[in-house]
Amino acid sequence: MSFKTLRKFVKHSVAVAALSSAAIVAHSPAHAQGDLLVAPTRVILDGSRGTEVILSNIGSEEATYRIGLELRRMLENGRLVPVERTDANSSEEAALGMIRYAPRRITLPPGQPQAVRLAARPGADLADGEYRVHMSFKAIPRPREVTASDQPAEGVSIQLIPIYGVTIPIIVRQGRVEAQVAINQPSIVQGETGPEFAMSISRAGDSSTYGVLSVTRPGDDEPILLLRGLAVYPELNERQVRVRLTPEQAAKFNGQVRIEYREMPDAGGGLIAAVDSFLG
Amino acid sequence: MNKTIRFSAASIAMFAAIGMGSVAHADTATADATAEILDALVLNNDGGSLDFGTMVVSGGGVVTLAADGTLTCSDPDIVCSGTTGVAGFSVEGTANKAVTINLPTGSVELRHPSYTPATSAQHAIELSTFTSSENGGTGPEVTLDGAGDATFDVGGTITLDGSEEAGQFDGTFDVSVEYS
Repeated sequence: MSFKTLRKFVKHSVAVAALSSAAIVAHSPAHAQGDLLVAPTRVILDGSRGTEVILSNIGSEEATYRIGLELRRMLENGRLVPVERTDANSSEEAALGMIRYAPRRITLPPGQPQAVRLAARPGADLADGEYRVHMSFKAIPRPREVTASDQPAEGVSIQLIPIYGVTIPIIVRQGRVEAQVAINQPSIVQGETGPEFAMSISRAGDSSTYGVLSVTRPGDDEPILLLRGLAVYPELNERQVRVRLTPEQAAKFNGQVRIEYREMPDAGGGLIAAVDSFLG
Repeated sequence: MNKTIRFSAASIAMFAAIGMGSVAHADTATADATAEILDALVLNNDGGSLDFGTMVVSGGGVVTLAADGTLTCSDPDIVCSGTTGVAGFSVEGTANKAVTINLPTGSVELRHPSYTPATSAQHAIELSTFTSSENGGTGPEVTLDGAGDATFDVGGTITLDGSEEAGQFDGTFDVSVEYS
């Protein structure tokens, strides 16, 4: 099975309204060299078993990708903020030290996937708990030759190339870790673009939680809201959840509802927390 | 500008699973076929690089290219011309999930080909304040739609001191996405 991502480039025809003496700057077309796919988007390592993450070049040209480890912390609203290594706490330092992975640099022709192998090697005296780093996959832009035609005779032009990529959490569970979770204050609020479903999840313990949030009306088979892949990391005791609603969804959000936060189906689908609530 | 033939999240997942070489074993005549479904996250750079066009600089000032493509070039000593463009990205993944966008929080230095540390005033330009067209409560974030798609654009602000030598200044900046 294969699929192709076809790209058509319309040249940035630079119609420079030439200033009296300013030269015309011809920019090279924007080739999306380095577009990428990463799967899975979350890895849990427990025990010494390793795993693989697939990186695929879905761009139109050969590209080189660099694979690295970074740190992120989750804010109350669910956003992940980067943390410099110099600001790492002891748990983050331990996480950086125990992840082994290879290769760290991959050159792939278009359409070609490759596996990155990874494993955790926790030290013998590592305290029980959950340790996390974020693995980044980034395309390295090809060095571009500066030609004479790129240089305007007068004036300043700027070429700013993005180095772009995907990061995924790598979670190491050492020993027995648990979390206690509750769903609080479900409500409908007015967001910037319309009605939103809002609630908060409170969490205690050493473990993160990850799963599916569903809102169901009694008697309905299908949930009126389904949010897959909702994570609450151990650095948070409370996470806010906001989901934009379509008008059709919003109309159903009144009266009695059951809100459930369950593990992902492939992790067993066990109930993490649930609440029956009256909205509207 | 760029056209991508869209493919569904399911096909991404299938592709990834097959890429891993997972095989559905048929042990008996009635065995179920199984396929591992993996969530994937895709980032495409559709809109190329961040391009401020050409500026004729006779004095200091600030030029801002907003994430929606609006160019603000109002300092009298800077004349802007040419085509400008924001860096556009598309994300594909799981429907209705929020994706955090990470942009540089500090500034990025752009360098002239004849840059040396001694001539950094003429041969370096600072680009700061990267902005995203899509933002959540406290920073760049985009929510994938029902089909698992979203796009965002990145703009920025450059500060010129008036002594920049003519020529093309090059630099790079980091953009990454992750499920929130």
